[in-house]
Amino acid sequence: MLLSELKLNEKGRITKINLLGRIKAKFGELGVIEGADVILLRKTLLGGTMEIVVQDYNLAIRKSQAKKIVVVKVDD
Amino acid sequence: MIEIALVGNPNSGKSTLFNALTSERQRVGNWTGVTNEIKKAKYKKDKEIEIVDLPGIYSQSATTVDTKTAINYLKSNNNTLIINVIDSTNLKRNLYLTCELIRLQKPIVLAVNMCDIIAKNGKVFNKDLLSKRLGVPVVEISALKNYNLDKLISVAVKNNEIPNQIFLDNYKGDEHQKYYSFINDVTNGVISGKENVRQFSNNADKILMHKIWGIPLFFLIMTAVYYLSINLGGVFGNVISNCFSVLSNLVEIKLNELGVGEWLISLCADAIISSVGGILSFLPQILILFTLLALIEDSGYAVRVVYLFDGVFRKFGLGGKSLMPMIVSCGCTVTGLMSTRIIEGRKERIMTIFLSPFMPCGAKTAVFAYFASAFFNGNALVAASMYFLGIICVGVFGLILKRTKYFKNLNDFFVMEIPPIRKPSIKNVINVIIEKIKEFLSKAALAVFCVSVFLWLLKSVGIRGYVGEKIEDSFLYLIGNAISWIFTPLGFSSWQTSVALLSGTFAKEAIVETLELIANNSQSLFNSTYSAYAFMAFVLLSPPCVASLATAYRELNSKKLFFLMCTFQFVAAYTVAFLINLLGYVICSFTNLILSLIIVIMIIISVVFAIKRLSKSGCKNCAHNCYGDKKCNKKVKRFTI
Repeated sequence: MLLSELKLNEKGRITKINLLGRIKAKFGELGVIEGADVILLRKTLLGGTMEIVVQDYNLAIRKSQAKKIVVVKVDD
Repeated sequence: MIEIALVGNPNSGKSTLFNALTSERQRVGNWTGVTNEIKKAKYKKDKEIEIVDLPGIYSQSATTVDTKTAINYLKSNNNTLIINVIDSTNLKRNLYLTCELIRLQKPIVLAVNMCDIIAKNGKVFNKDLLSKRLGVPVVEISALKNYNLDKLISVAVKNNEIPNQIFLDNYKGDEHQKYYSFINDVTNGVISGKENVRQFSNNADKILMHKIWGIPLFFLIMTAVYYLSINLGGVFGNVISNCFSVLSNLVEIKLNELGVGEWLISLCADAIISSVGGILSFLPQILILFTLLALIEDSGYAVRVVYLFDGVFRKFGLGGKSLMPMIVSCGCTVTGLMSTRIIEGRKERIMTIFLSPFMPCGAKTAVFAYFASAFFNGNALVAASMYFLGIICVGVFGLILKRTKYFKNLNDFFVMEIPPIRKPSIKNVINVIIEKIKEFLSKAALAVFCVSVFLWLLKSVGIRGYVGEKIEDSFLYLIGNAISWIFTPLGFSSWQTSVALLSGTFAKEAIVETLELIANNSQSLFNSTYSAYAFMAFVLLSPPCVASLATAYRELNSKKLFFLMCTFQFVAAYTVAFLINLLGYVICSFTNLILSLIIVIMIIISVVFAIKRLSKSGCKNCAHNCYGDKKCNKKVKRFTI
């Protein structure tokens, strides 16, 4: 499933990142990498922006980027 | 001379540490990009040591102007000792940069900051374990509480060991995965204790970042900020202004008794004392505004505002990081323009520079407060409405700019750390107040004072010499009349308003001073109340003061773009002021209320229609806003699982 499809407070483990070049590198530095766990914390009303927990800190990303990250659901 | 550079992630507390080590009062804020320049100062306790504060970076790959500044500095200064400041509540990601720095094979010391928060939550930080695993000296500090700072400097100065190289061959995956696997091993067991340090912040965020109530709450907060600064500030301002009035009268009487020439009395009473009083009467308002804005920045609320509005602003061609400079511009446009260094794309940055001055700065707010009391019975809502007008203009003109060829394809990349909400520190707030007073008195006050004296000269002297009360013979009258015709469609065609607008180039506060100086009855200068409102809109949107223009020129780095910006802002100001005047005229002059209502509705509908048309993205095939032209042959791979 995609990162954008996670429900609130669900945890997922990243299996594939379909971003390229500079954006992928930026995400990599921030710890959004294959094998990392992410938790969806909240979304905005229109759904365009979301806040996730990754590597023990909070990050805000756009839905368009979240659609390019593949995760598998992880039960806590 | 030993030089020590503070390197670390944004929000790790470098600037707080810098302030604590030196006696400087650098701006501190709980968001990425507060520090966007290199600042140097001598260490308080040893003048032979110089501390360098660098912008925060996440890694050595530079994508924005402020990160490039930091990295270039590190690369070009080989003898600089490095202190890597780390946020201990956010260990893993902070260590990514640390690993890269260790691989540089230079002497480095780790300053693990915010250890007071760790301790407060009953956790334990095992610094010796971390030190052993990384092979570098580790010092626990709290920059905010001034804890262990001397030890940090002495360790840094004594340390000239090159750390052991990190070998990542045993780990799998790409570069980033290897680093984070290594970091996982290093941090395992370093912090003990289960308490969540973000508990308070998480609870606060449930309200602040609420899906539905987040945005209304923001508007409530901003209205309160403006209400407080104008009303409360106004009270103190009036007191100061009255004191100076009394002083001015006393001096006038005294000088008259001494038989001093009329021109000298006028110079002292009108130009000098009155203008100084006028300037100082703004200070309370500006101070309160800046304090409240500093609280918003320092607590970390500003980041949450960006989160809430990113989606909305995207539809207007801006978004994400463009918001921060606009929020900062509500204090001072100069600072706001420099904050644009955090924006990734050059074109997005330029567009933000073009639009940020539309937000009312502290000086413009002072002008609006004056107009509110002179024309609108002191209704603070009028001044707050300028704030909303600014936002609307940013949106509308952003759309228009986005339609132009130059700004068509903007970067669609947004990623931002949400640091925990922190209690703003009293120390930082006091620093802001002190710095603002200093800056106000030196720059704005000086500018306004000089402008007042200069204007007094121009209004008192004409072709035939000293003119005294006959102001129609003065040079100022000539200059004003030469340009006043330009503003006739806007509802204010007097020479006084023209001169006032000119004086606004030096400092927007000067507009008030000028009007006080040359108009006995400000009300007569405008055709009507709505013309006064049009004037306010013109002040809001027209090119900002000289200081801001100079900053914009520096940030744009291009004469052509700078000239374009000034033209754009002037045209925008003129158009909006004209529309306001027109709308007001229509509403007021038609005796038939229904007819005027219909016309107003028609105008509003056509404006809304124009906006919708401008914001429509024509092409649904791709992720780009291509308006359906040929470029849409880009094959964007919609991934599959």
